[in-house]
Amino acid sequence: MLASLTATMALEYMSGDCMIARAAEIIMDALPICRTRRISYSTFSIVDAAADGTVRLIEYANPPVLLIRDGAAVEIGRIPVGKPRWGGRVLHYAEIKARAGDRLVLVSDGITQAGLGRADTPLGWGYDQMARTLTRQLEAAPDLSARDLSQFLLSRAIRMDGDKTGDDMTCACIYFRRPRPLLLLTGPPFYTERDAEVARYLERFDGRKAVCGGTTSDIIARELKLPVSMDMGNFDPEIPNTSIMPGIDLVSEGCVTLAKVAEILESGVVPSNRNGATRLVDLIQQSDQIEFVVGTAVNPAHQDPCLPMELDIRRNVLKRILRLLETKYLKETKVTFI
Amino acid sequence: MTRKETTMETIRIRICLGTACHVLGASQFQHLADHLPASLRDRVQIEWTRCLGLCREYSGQDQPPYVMVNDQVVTRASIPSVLACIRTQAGD
Repeated sequence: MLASLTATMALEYMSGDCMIARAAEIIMDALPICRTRRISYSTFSIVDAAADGTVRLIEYANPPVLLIRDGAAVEIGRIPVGKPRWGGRVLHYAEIKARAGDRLVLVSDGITQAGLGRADTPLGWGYDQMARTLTRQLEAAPDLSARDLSQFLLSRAIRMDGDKTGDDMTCACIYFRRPRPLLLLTGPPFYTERDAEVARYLERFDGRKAVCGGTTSDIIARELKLPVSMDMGNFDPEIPNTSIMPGIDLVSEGCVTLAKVAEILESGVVPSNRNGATRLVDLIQQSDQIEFVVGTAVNPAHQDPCLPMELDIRRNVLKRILRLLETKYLKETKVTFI
Repeated sequence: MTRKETTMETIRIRICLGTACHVLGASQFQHLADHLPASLRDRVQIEWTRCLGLCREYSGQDQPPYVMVNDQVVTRASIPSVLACIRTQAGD
Protein backbone atom coordinates (compact mmCIF):
# COMPACT_ATOMS: atom_id res chain seq x y z
CA MET A 1 0.00 0.00 0.00
CA LEU A 2 2.79 2.40 0.92
CA ALA A 3 4.62 1.51 -2.29
CA SER A 4 1.50 2.37 -4.27
CA LEU A 5 1.10 5.61 -2.32
CA THR A 6 4.71 6.58 -2.95
CA ALA A 7 4.50 5.78 -6.65
CA THR A 8 1.23 7.66 -7.00
CA MET A 9 2.64 10.71 -5.27
CA ALA A 10 5.74 10.65 -7.44
CA LEU A 11 3.71 10.30 -10.65
CA GLU A 12 1.37 13.12 -9.68
CA TYR A 13 4.22 15.46 -8.91
CA MET A 14 6.04 14.60 -12.12
CA SER A 15 2.97 15.04 -14.26
CA GLY A 16 2.39 18.36 -12.57
CA ASP A 17 5.90 19.44 -13.58
CA CYS A 18 7.10 19.52 -10.01
CA MET A 19 10.91 19.49 -9.79
CA ILE A 20 12.07 15.97 -9.16
CA ALA A 21 14.19 16.98 -6.17
CA ARG A 22 11.29 18.81 -4.53
CA ALA A 23 8.97 15.88 -5.20
CA ALA A 24 11.42 13.52 -3.51
CA GLU A 25 11.69 15.76 -0.45
CA ILE A 26 7.92 15.91 -0.05
CA ILE A 27 7.73 12.15 -0.30
CA MET A 28 10.51 11.70 2.26
CA ASP A 29 8.68 13.99 4.67
CA ALA A 30 5.44 12.11 4.14
CA LEU A 31 6.67 8.55 4.50
CA PRO A 32 6.26 6.76 7.85
CA ILE A 33 9.39 5.37 9.51
CA CYS A 34 9.73 1.82 10.75
CA ARG A 35 10.31 1.95 14.52
CA THR A 36 12.56 -1.10 14.47
CA ARG A 37 14.65 -0.61 11.35
CA ARG A 38 14.53 3.23 11.36
CA ILE A 39 14.02 3.43 7.58
CA SER A 40 11.16 4.88 5.62
CA TYR A 41 8.51 2.88 3.93
CA SER A 42 8.67 2.73 1.17
CA THR A 43 11.97 2.95 -0.66
CA PHE A 44 11.85 4.54 -4.11
CA SER A 45 13.71 5.32 -7.31
CA ILE A 46 12.48 8.06 -9.61
CA VAL A 47 13.70 8.54 -13.16
CA ASP A 48 12.80 11.70 -15.04
CA ALA A 49 13.89 11.49 -18.68
CA ALA A 50 13.49 14.52 -20.92
CA ALA A 51 13.22 14.50 -24.70
CA ASP A 52 16.69 16.01 -25.05
CA GLY A 53 18.23 13.00 -23.30
CA THR A 54 18.74 14.63 -19.89
CA VAL A 55 17.94 12.06 -17.25
CA ARG A 56 17.57 12.89 -13.57
CA LEU A 57 17.57 10.17 -10.96
CA ILE A 58 16.51 10.33 -7.33
CA GLU A 59 16.93 7.22 -5.23
CA TYR A 60 16.17 6.31 -1.67
CA ALA A 61 17.32 3.06 -0.12
CA ASN A 62 16.91 1.00 -3.32
CA PRO A 63 19.74 -0.73 -5.15
CA PRO A 64 21.33 1.94 -7.37
CA VAL A 65 19.88 2.41 -10.85
CA LEU A 66 22.12 0.54 -13.27
CA LEU A 67 23.28 2.22 -16.49
CA ILE A 68 24.35 -0.12 -19.28
CA ARG A 69 26.12 1.62 -22.14
CA ASP A 70 27.89 -0.01 -25.09
CA GLY A 71 27.43 -3.38 -23.45
CA ALA A 72 29.00 -2.50 -20.11
CA ALA A 73 27.76 -1.36 -16.72
CA VAL A 74 28.72 2.30 -16.21
CA GLU A 75 29.04 3.94 -12.83
CA ILE A 76 26.77 6.92 -12.29
CA GLY A 77 28.13 9.67 -10.03
CA ARG A 78 25.60 10.27 -7.26
CA ILE A 79 25.26 13.18 -4.88
CA PRO A 80 23.98 12.33 -1.40
CA VAL A 81 21.35 14.74 -0.08
CA GLY A 82 20.31 14.72 3.56
CA LYS A 83 18.33 16.99 5.83
CA PRO A 84 18.48 17.19 9.64
CA ARG A 85 14.78 16.36 9.94
CA TRP A 86 15.34 13.08 8.08
CA GLY A 87 17.38 11.69 10.97
CA GLY A 88 20.20 10.22 8.90
CA ARG A 89 18.10 9.13 5.93
CA VAL A 90 19.77 10.11 2.69
CA LEU A 91 18.51 10.68 -0.87
CA HIS A 92 20.88 10.16 -3.78
CA TYR A 93 20.66 12.43 -6.76
CA ALA A 94 22.24 11.95 -10.18
CA GLU A 95 22.01 13.45 -13.64
CA ILE A 96 23.21 11.89 -16.89
CA LYS A 97 22.90 12.55 -20.58
CA ALA A 98 21.41 9.46 -22.20
CA ARG A 99 22.68 8.23 -25.55
CA ALA A 100 20.94 6.06 -28.11
CA GLY A 101 21.36 2.45 -27.04
CA ASP A 102 21.62 3.21 -23.30
CA ARG A 103 19.65 1.14 -20.87
CA LEU A 104 18.63 1.96 -17.31
CA VAL A 105 17.64 -0.88 -15.02
CA LEU A 106 15.78 -0.24 -11.77
CA VAL A 107 15.31 -3.04 -9.27
CA SER A 108 14.05 -3.51 -5.76
CA ASP A 109 16.25 -5.33 -3.26
CA GLY A 110 14.05 -8.40 -3.65
CA ILE A 111 15.94 -8.95 -6.90
CA THR A 112 19.51 -8.26 -5.74
CA GLN A 113 18.86 -10.43 -2.68
CA ALA A 114 17.27 -13.27 -4.65
CA GLY A 115 18.58 -16.61 -3.49
CA LEU A 116 19.53 -15.28 -0.05
CA GLY A 117 20.30 -18.13 2.33
CA ARG A 118 20.38 -20.80 -0.38
CA ALA A 119 23.39 -23.09 -0.67
CA ASP A 120 24.82 -21.63 -3.88
CA THR A 121 23.98 -18.00 -3.09
CA PRO A 122 24.18 -17.61 0.71
CA LEU A 123 24.49 -13.84 0.48
CA GLY A 124 21.95 -13.53 -2.34
CA TRP A 125 22.45 -12.81 -6.01
CA GLY A 126 24.22 -9.52 -5.43
CA TYR A 127 24.15 -6.29 -7.40
CA ASP A 128 27.43 -6.86 -9.27
CA GLN A 129 26.52 -10.40 -10.27
CA MET A 130 23.11 -9.21 -11.43
CA ALA A 131 24.81 -6.54 -13.55
CA ARG A 132 27.14 -9.13 -15.10
CA THR A 133 24.18 -11.37 -15.91
CA LEU A 134 22.44 -8.47 -17.64
CA THR A 135 25.43 -7.45 -19.72
CA ARG A 136 25.99 -11.07 -20.80
CA GLN A 137 22.35 -11.33 -21.81
CA LEU A 138 22.59 -8.13 -23.84
CA GLU A 139 25.78 -9.35 -25.47
CA ALA A 140 23.84 -12.38 -26.70
CA ALA A 141 20.78 -10.31 -27.70
CA PRO A 142 21.77 -6.66 -28.22
CA ASP A 143 18.31 -5.64 -29.50
CA LEU A 144 16.40 -7.19 -26.63
CA SER A 145 13.41 -5.03 -25.79
CA ALA A 146 13.04 -3.37 -22.40
CA ARG A 147 10.00 -5.55 -21.77
CA ASP A 148 11.87 -8.77 -22.51
CA LEU A 149 14.91 -7.69 -20.50
CA SER A 150 12.84 -6.98 -17.40
CA GLN A 151 10.99 -10.29 -17.84
CA PHE A 152 14.33 -12.07 -18.14
CA LEU A 153 15.66 -10.45 -14.97
CA LEU A 154 12.53 -11.16 -13.01
CA SER A 155 12.28 -14.77 -14.04
CA ARG A 156 15.98 -15.31 -13.25
CA ALA A 157 15.52 -13.84 -9.78
CA ILE A 158 12.43 -15.95 -9.13
CA ARG A 159 14.33 -19.05 -10.18
CA MET A 160 17.16 -18.19 -7.81
CA ASP A 161 14.61 -18.00 -5.01
CA GLY A 162 13.55 -21.55 -5.76
CA ASP A 163 10.60 -20.46 -7.91
CA LYS A 164 8.95 -18.61 -5.09
CA THR A 165 9.66 -15.03 -4.19
CA GLY A 166 11.13 -14.44 -0.76
CA ASP A 167 10.52 -10.70 -0.97
CA ASP A 168 8.57 -8.53 -3.36
CA MET A 169 10.41 -8.13 -6.64
CA THR A 170 10.12 -5.12 -8.90
CA CYS A 171 12.08 -4.47 -12.05
CA ALA A 172 11.82 -1.70 -14.63
CA CYS A 173 13.98 -1.28 -17.71
CA ILE A 174 14.28 1.84 -19.83
CA TYR A 175 15.78 1.48 -23.29
CA PHE A 176 16.77 4.65 -25.13
CA ARG A 177 16.29 3.79 -28.77
CA ARG A 178 14.66 5.00 -31.96
CA PRO A 179 10.87 4.55 -32.07
CA ARG A 180 9.68 1.46 -33.89
CA PRO A 181 7.01 2.26 -36.47
CA LEU A 182 4.33 -0.13 -37.66
CA LEU A 183 1.96 0.37 -40.58
CA LEU A 184 -1.29 -1.57 -40.42
CA LEU A 185 -3.31 -1.58 -43.61
CA THR A 186 -6.82 -2.97 -43.54
CA GLY A 187 -9.72 -2.76 -45.94
CA PRO A 188 -9.74 -1.90 -49.64
CA PRO A 189 -9.85 1.81 -50.56
CA PHE A 190 -13.31 3.18 -51.26
CA TYR A 191 -12.21 4.16 -54.75
CA THR A 192 -10.36 1.42 -56.59
CA GLU A 193 -8.33 4.13 -58.32
CA ARG A 194 -6.46 4.55 -55.04
CA ASP A 195 -5.33 0.92 -54.87
CA ALA A 196 -1.97 1.67 -56.46
CA GLU A 197 -1.39 4.68 -54.21
CA VAL A 198 -1.99 2.65 -51.07
CA ALA A 199 0.24 -0.17 -52.28
CA ARG A 200 3.07 2.25 -53.04
CA TYR A 201 2.69 3.85 -49.61
CA LEU A 202 3.01 0.46 -48.00
CA GLU A 203 6.00 -0.43 -50.14
CA ARG A 204 7.87 2.75 -49.20
CA PHE A 205 7.03 2.66 -45.50
CA ASP A 206 10.15 2.46 -43.33
CA GLY A 207 9.13 0.10 -40.57
CA ARG A 208 7.17 -3.05 -39.98
CA LYS A 209 4.11 -3.78 -42.05
CA ALA A 210 0.89 -5.65 -41.44
CA VAL A 211 -1.90 -6.21 -43.94
CA CYS A 212 -5.21 -7.36 -42.49
CA GLY A 213 -7.84 -8.68 -44.89
CA GLY A 214 -8.03 -11.06 -47.81
CA THR A 215 -9.17 -8.46 -50.34
CA THR A 216 -6.64 -5.96 -49.01
CA SER A 217 -3.79 -8.41 -49.35
CA ASP A 218 -4.95 -9.35 -52.87
CA ILE A 219 -4.76 -5.68 -53.82
CA ILE A 220 -1.22 -5.37 -52.47
CA ALA A 221 -0.14 -8.58 -54.17
CA ARG A 222 -1.55 -7.42 -57.48
CA GLU A 223 -0.18 -3.88 -57.35
CA LEU A 224 3.27 -4.82 -56.11
CA LYS A 225 3.42 -8.08 -58.08
CA LEU A 226 4.07 -10.15 -54.99
CA PRO A 227 3.21 -13.80 -54.49
CA VAL A 228 0.84 -14.60 -51.63
CA SER A 229 0.19 -18.01 -50.20
CA MET A 230 -1.71 -19.37 -47.25
CA ASP A 231 0.30 -20.31 -44.18
CA MET A 232 -0.99 -23.68 -43.06
CA GLY A 233 1.50 -23.92 -40.19
CA ASN A 234 -0.94 -23.48 -37.31
CA PHE A 235 -4.63 -24.18 -37.72
CA ASP A 236 -6.77 -22.25 -35.23
CA PRO A 237 -10.52 -22.87 -35.25
CA GLU A 238 -11.21 -19.37 -33.93
CA ILE A 239 -8.89 -17.22 -36.03
CA PRO A 240 -8.47 -17.64 -39.80
CA ASN A 241 -5.03 -18.55 -41.01
CA THR A 242 -2.47 -15.97 -41.93
CA SER A 243 -0.84 -15.75 -45.34
CA ILE A 244 2.72 -15.14 -46.46
CA MET A 245 3.83 -12.28 -48.70
CA PRO A 246 7.49 -11.30 -49.06
CA GLY A 247 8.36 -8.00 -47.42
CA ILE A 248 5.23 -7.94 -45.24
CA ASP A 249 5.69 -8.88 -41.59
CA LEU A 250 2.16 -10.17 -41.16
CA VAL A 251 -0.69 -10.88 -43.57
CA SER A 252 -3.80 -11.78 -41.66
CA GLU A 253 -7.52 -12.02 -42.20
CA GLY A 254 -9.43 -8.84 -41.43
CA CYS A 255 -12.52 -8.50 -39.26
CA VAL A 256 -12.41 -11.60 -37.08
CA THR A 257 -8.71 -11.14 -36.39
CA LEU A 258 -9.03 -7.44 -35.53
CA ALA A 259 -11.97 -8.10 -33.21
CA LYS A 260 -9.85 -10.64 -31.37
CA VAL A 261 -6.96 -8.19 -31.21
CA ALA A 262 -9.25 -5.64 -29.55
CA GLU A 263 -10.36 -8.28 -27.06
CA ILE A 264 -6.77 -9.27 -26.22
CA LEU A 265 -5.63 -5.66 -25.83
CA GLU A 266 -8.58 -4.98 -23.55
CA SER A 267 -7.92 -7.95 -21.29
CA GLY A 268 -4.15 -7.49 -21.33
CA VAL A 269 -3.73 -11.26 -21.43
CA VAL A 270 -2.20 -12.66 -24.60
CA PRO A 271 -3.17 -16.30 -25.19
CA SER A 272 -0.27 -18.65 -25.78
CA ASN A 273 -1.49 -20.07 -29.11
CA ARG A 274 0.07 -18.50 -32.20
CA ASN A 275 -2.48 -17.19 -34.65
CA GLY A 276 -3.10 -14.05 -36.68
CA ALA A 277 -4.48 -12.16 -33.70
CA THR A 278 -1.75 -13.01 -31.18
CA ARG A 279 0.93 -12.33 -33.79
CA LEU A 280 -0.59 -8.94 -34.56
CA VAL A 281 -0.77 -8.11 -30.84
CA ASP A 282 2.89 -9.05 -30.59
CA LEU A 283 3.79 -6.74 -33.47
CA ILE A 284 1.77 -3.93 -31.92
CA GLN A 285 3.33 -4.34 -28.50
CA GLN A 286 6.82 -4.26 -29.97
CA SER A 287 6.07 -1.02 -31.82
CA ASP A 288 5.87 2.55 -30.57
CA GLN A 289 4.26 4.43 -33.46
CA ILE A 290 1.38 2.68 -35.14
CA GLU A 291 -0.16 4.04 -38.28
CA PHE A 292 -3.48 2.66 -39.49
CA VAL A 293 -4.55 3.06 -43.09
CA VAL A 294 -8.15 1.93 -43.26
CA GLY A 295 -10.00 1.30 -46.47
CA THR A 296 -13.69 2.13 -46.28
CA ALA A 297 -15.05 0.01 -49.12
CA VAL A 298 -17.82 -2.20 -47.76
CA ASN A 299 -17.50 -5.94 -48.28
CA PRO A 300 -20.94 -6.93 -49.59
CA ALA A 301 -20.34 -10.53 -48.59
CA HIS A 302 -20.27 -9.48 -44.94
CA GLN A 303 -23.68 -7.81 -45.12
CA ASP A 304 -25.46 -11.15 -45.04
CA PRO A 305 -27.79 -11.03 -42.00
CA CYS A 306 -26.95 -14.65 -41.25
CA LEU A 307 -23.37 -13.69 -40.39
CA PRO A 308 -22.38 -12.37 -36.93
CA MET A 309 -22.99 -8.66 -36.42
CA GLU A 310 -19.38 -7.93 -35.54
CA LEU A 311 -18.17 -8.66 -39.05
CA ASP A 312 -17.35 -5.60 -41.07
CA ILE A 313 -17.94 -3.08 -38.39
CA ARG A 314 -14.31 -2.44 -39.03
CA ARG A 315 -14.39 1.19 -38.05
CA ASN A 316 -15.82 0.44 -34.62
CA VAL A 317 -13.30 -2.28 -33.90
CA LEU A 318 -10.46 -0.06 -35.01
CA LYS A 319 -11.69 2.81 -32.86
CA ARG A 320 -11.64 0.46 -29.90
CA ILE A 321 -8.12 -0.64 -30.72
CA LEU A 322 -6.92 2.94 -31.17
CA ARG A 323 -8.38 4.03 -27.84
CA LEU A 324 -6.70 1.12 -26.08
CA LEU A 325 -3.35 1.72 -27.73
CA GLU A 326 -3.37 5.36 -26.73
CA THR A 327 -4.71 5.13 -23.19
CA LYS A 328 -3.62 1.73 -21.94
CA TYR A 329 -0.49 1.03 -23.98
CA LEU A 330 0.76 4.62 -24.42
CA LYS A 331 1.42 4.16 -28.13
CA GLU A 332 1.51 6.98 -30.65
CA THR A 333 -1.18 6.35 -33.23
CA LYS A 334 -2.28 7.86 -36.49
CA VAL A 335 -5.23 6.80 -38.63
CA THR A 336 -6.21 7.60 -42.19
CA PHE A 337 -9.48 6.47 -43.71
CA ILE A 338 -9.38 6.12 -47.47
CA MET B 1 -1.37 -34.35 -48.38
CA THR B 2 1.21 -34.31 -51.16
CA ARG B 3 0.27 -32.70 -54.41
CA LYS B 4 -0.55 -35.32 -57.03
CA GLU B 5 -0.57 -34.97 -60.77
CA THR B 6 -3.97 -33.74 -61.87
CA THR B 7 -5.48 -36.46 -64.01
CA MET B 8 -8.94 -37.30 -65.18
CA GLU B 9 -9.29 -39.42 -62.09
CA THR B 10 -8.01 -36.94 -59.49
CA ILE B 11 -10.67 -35.17 -57.51
CA ARG B 12 -9.52 -31.73 -56.46
CA ILE B 13 -11.03 -30.33 -53.27
CA ARG B 14 -10.57 -26.66 -52.50
CA ILE B 15 -11.66 -25.47 -49.07
CA CYS B 16 -12.17 -21.74 -48.78
CA LEU B 17 -10.67 -20.15 -45.67
CA GLY B 18 -12.09 -16.68 -46.24
CA THR B 19 -13.67 -14.80 -43.36
CA ALA B 20 -17.30 -15.78 -43.93
CA CYS B 21 -16.42 -19.44 -44.51
CA HIS B 22 -14.19 -19.53 -41.45
CA VAL B 23 -16.83 -17.94 -39.24
CA LEU B 24 -19.45 -20.40 -40.45
CA GLY B 25 -17.35 -23.47 -39.79
CA ALA B 26 -14.67 -24.12 -42.42
CA SER B 27 -12.32 -25.43 -39.72
CA GLN B 28 -14.37 -28.64 -39.57
CA PHE B 29 -12.78 -29.69 -42.85
CA GLN B 30 -9.42 -30.27 -41.23
CA HIS B 31 -10.93 -33.68 -40.47
CA LEU B 32 -12.21 -34.28 -44.01
CA ALA B 33 -9.37 -36.62 -44.96
CA ASP B 34 -10.17 -38.86 -41.99
CA HIS B 35 -13.67 -39.48 -43.39
CA LEU B 36 -12.66 -40.36 -46.92
CA PRO B 37 -13.46 -43.92 -47.90
CA ALA B 38 -10.31 -45.99 -48.41
CA SER B 39 -11.13 -46.51 -52.09
CA LEU B 40 -11.00 -42.78 -52.78
CA ARG B 41 -8.07 -41.65 -50.62
CA ASP B 42 -5.52 -41.88 -53.40
CA ARG B 43 -7.70 -39.94 -55.81
CA VAL B 44 -8.61 -37.00 -53.61
CA GLN B 45 -6.36 -33.95 -53.40
CA ILE B 46 -7.30 -31.50 -50.63
CA GLU B 47 -6.19 -27.87 -50.71
CA TRP B 48 -6.87 -24.97 -48.42
CA THR B 49 -7.27 -21.70 -50.25
CA ARG B 50 -7.61 -18.04 -49.53
CA CYS B 51 -11.01 -16.51 -50.17
CA LEU B 52 -12.49 -17.82 -53.40
CA GLY B 53 -14.90 -14.88 -53.61
CA LEU B 54 -17.92 -17.19 -53.68
CA CYS B 55 -19.53 -15.24 -50.85
CA ARG B 56 -20.04 -12.39 -53.31
CA GLU B 57 -21.64 -14.64 -55.90
CA TYR B 58 -23.97 -16.63 -53.70
CA SER B 59 -26.57 -15.46 -51.22
CA GLY B 60 -29.74 -16.52 -49.46
CA GLN B 61 -29.82 -20.25 -48.82
CA ASP B 62 -26.44 -20.78 -50.50
CA GLN B 63 -24.42 -19.68 -47.51
CA PRO B 64 -20.80 -20.33 -46.58
CA PRO B 65 -18.81 -22.40 -45.91
CA TYR B 66 -17.95 -23.11 -49.51
CA VAL B 67 -16.00 -26.07 -50.77
CA MET B 68 -15.21 -26.76 -54.40
CA VAL B 69 -15.12 -30.33 -55.59
CA ASN B 70 -13.42 -30.00 -58.95
CA ASP B 71 -15.58 -27.27 -60.53
CA GLN B 72 -18.65 -27.88 -58.45
CA VAL B 73 -19.40 -25.52 -55.59
CA VAL B 74 -20.83 -27.04 -52.44
CA THR B 75 -22.67 -24.37 -50.48
CA ARG B 76 -23.51 -24.64 -46.77
CA ALA B 77 -20.84 -27.32 -46.93
CA SER B 78 -20.43 -29.97 -44.30
CA ILE B 79 -18.32 -33.11 -44.21
CA PRO B 80 -21.28 -35.32 -45.23
CA SER B 81 -22.32 -33.04 -48.12
CA VAL B 82 -18.75 -32.76 -49.41
CA LEU B 83 -18.29 -36.54 -49.18
CA ALA B 84 -21.54 -37.02 -51.10
CA CYS B 85 -20.28 -34.70 -53.82
CA ILE B 86 -16.93 -36.51 -53.97
CA ARG B 87 -18.68 -39.84 -54.36
CA THR B 88 -20.85 -38.45 -57.14
CA GLN B 89 -17.84 -37.10 -58.97
CA ALA B 90 -16.00 -40.38 -58.47
CA GLY B 91 -18.95 -42.29 -59.89
CA ASP B 92 -19.16 -44.24 -56.66
